[in-house]
Amino acid sequence: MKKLVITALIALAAITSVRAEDGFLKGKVLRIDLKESIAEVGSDGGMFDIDMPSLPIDIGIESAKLGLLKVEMALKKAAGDKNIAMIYLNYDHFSAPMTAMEEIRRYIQEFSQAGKPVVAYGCSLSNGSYYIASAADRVFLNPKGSGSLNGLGSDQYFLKDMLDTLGIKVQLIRHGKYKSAGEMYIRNSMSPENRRQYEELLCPIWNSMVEEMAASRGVSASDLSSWIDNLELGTADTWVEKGLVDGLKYKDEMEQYICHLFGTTDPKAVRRIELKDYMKDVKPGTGKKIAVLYADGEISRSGNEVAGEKFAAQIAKLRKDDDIKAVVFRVNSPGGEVVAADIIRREIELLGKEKPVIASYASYAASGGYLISAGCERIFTDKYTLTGSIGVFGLIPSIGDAASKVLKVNFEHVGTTPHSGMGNLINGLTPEEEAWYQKEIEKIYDDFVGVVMDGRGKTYDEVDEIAQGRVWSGMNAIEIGLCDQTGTLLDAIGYAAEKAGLSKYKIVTYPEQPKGGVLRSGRKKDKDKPLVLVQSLADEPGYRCMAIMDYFTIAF
Amino acid sequence: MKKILLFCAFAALGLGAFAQNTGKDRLTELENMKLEKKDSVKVKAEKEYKSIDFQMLAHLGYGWHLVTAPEFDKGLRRRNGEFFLNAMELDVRPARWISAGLGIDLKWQSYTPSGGNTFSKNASGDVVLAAAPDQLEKLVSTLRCFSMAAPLTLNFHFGPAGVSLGAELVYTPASFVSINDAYSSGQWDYKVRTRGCGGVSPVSWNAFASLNLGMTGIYFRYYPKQPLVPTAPFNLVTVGIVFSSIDL
Repeated sequence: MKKLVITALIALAAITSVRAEDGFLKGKVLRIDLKESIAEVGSDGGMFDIDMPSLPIDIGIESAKLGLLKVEMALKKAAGDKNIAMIYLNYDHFSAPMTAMEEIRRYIQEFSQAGKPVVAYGCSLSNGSYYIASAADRVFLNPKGSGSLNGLGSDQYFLKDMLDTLGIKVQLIRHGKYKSAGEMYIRNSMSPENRRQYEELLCPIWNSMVEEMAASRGVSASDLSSWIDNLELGTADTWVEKGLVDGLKYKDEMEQYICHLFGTTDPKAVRRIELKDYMKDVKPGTGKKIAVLYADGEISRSGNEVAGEKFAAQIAKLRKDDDIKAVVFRVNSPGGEVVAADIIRREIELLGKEKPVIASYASYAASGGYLISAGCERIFTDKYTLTGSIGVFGLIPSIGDAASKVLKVNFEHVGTTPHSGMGNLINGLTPEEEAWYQKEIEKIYDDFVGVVMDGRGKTYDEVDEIAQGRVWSGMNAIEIGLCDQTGTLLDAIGYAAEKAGLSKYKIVTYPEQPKGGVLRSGRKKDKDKPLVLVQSLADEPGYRCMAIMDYFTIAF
Repeated sequence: MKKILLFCAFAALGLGAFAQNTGKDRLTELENMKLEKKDSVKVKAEKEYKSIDFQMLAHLGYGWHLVTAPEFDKGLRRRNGEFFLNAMELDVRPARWISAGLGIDLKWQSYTPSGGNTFSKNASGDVVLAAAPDQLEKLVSTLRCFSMAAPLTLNFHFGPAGVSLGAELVYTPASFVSINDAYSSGQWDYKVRTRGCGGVSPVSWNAFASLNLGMTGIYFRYYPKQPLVPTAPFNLVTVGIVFSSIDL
């Protein structure tokens, strides 16, 4: 009996010793403001922010952006930092890519799992802001606030009738019934394949988002879907009724709520730190290096974003650097020029022979973005990444008729060969020339499929079935074998470290970013429109066909 | 006995893990805790500091010259002192207890010799110190300079208090040096200003130290061989008050 009592007392002491900390919170509030832009690659920004939208070129100094990698490292660090007591999340003016929010949401949940509260507050809720706010332990809304969850959608426009009226002819040559980017020029509506593609892409993504939000709030996904479909969410009280928000508070009431958690009534006694300041203390680590190589943007031979030869030279440097033991290839690209993409792919292949190269996908790793990374040892993706789009297309416009009818300008051609006028944008392709281009496109497609076959260990038929230009979400891409697993950028880095046999490592990023205050100039891009890159066929001696680029915007 | 102990140990670990609160559980506990007015936890707010800070008007101060040369007034006189105002300053604070600053100050100084002496310009246009003519009564001769200074400071912070040590380089252009005389002669009172006096060394330096509490401090400045007057260099100590906008 004595022994039993003693052992019970020991057990009780053990239990109480591991009980969660009692008493009010001690430490600082880590304040995350979602209006701070979060981008794949952070920048310090400059002292001034000059915005001149009327100018045809973009002259200015970039405003500061928080880099996703450092944000994730900061949140992970905060979960174990005794000096950080809780997170206060302001979800207004949400501005970040969807996959960035997916990854940040996970670290917020891990912070909460570590026993530290997360409180979210704002005045308006939307798809994106509620997606992340719902991960918080408490969500508050301004009493006069409102919001709606509209679901995902994509609006596309078609120009065939307009071009016909103007007399502009466009020939679309492609391989891939789902390679739909050029359809806007030759059709007045979506093709059945394109519609099916969008529906089968958007619906699972949205359903997954709804499930996540519902699970976080303890409501059923079907109820949440029903409220959204029936427009039952609007003013602040409707959110509280449905249990999607915990309470309505004004800002001063939120201050008092936070003070209460710290056992005080004096706001000045509660210490706070902004995420961007906390990030300054995040160290890259020590020891041998793991490089995070960013392919962020369109791929082209000589552009501002992922410039083929320049980028390939950077990869070659990483290969020759013995201090770098592994590379995480962070891809956020909708694709681009064939030649440029292949140059990069080749360098990645060479790099992969010398050290582990792990791909990590951000918002897009489609078309050329998939081509350059398909050969990586392992591919991490976010659930809501858009990937695949294994297909090729080319667009050849001809304006001869339009010039003649509208502008009364007439053309005549004199050439030394039957096809010297091919691709001159005046008369379009003859049937013979079109057939030749189609053959070239098929060759490029086969090459693309070959790369995927080698990289993913599949047969031609297996790849062809999931290719055809079709875009897949990250979730589906894992099911069909285009990617290996879901995971954040930090997960990919951890995996790379394991493969390289490193328990301690230093993270270094490439290409190196210019420091704040750098004056940039470049052509202004209209980011709202689907972008199709068209290149003259006469320019490319090797690959005489075109831009592999297909991406679209999803409205949040 | 061993089996029982092992079982309890594993149970404790398991239950401990089970007892680990999530953020939601913790919030529920906190929301239900009552604030006790008498014993409420007073959390001392630690001021956040910026690791790099750029400011304008970071400090200003006024000091009195304690001149060692017998030609000058001994003791504190209104016209024997300096006023300085910071134009801009860059501070770097790598840790809470130490910071360094580099700035640009605007400085106005005045020097008044004793009644028997006066500043004047010689034939070369340089400032000289000479005996005052007998016919001038109640003579007060003041040399005024406007300078730009670049102080480099090392600050040590101890909570609200602090110690600063530093040195500065001073640039005094001749065009901003003037002699201001006030005297009586006969039945008339005179005020004479002579501008653009040469001979004052355009570049000089000094060292300083200050003891600070909050935003106020007392400073001591040492000008070695102040080359105001080439023919009569003197050492100078200045004591004054400084107000700083940099919160310690």
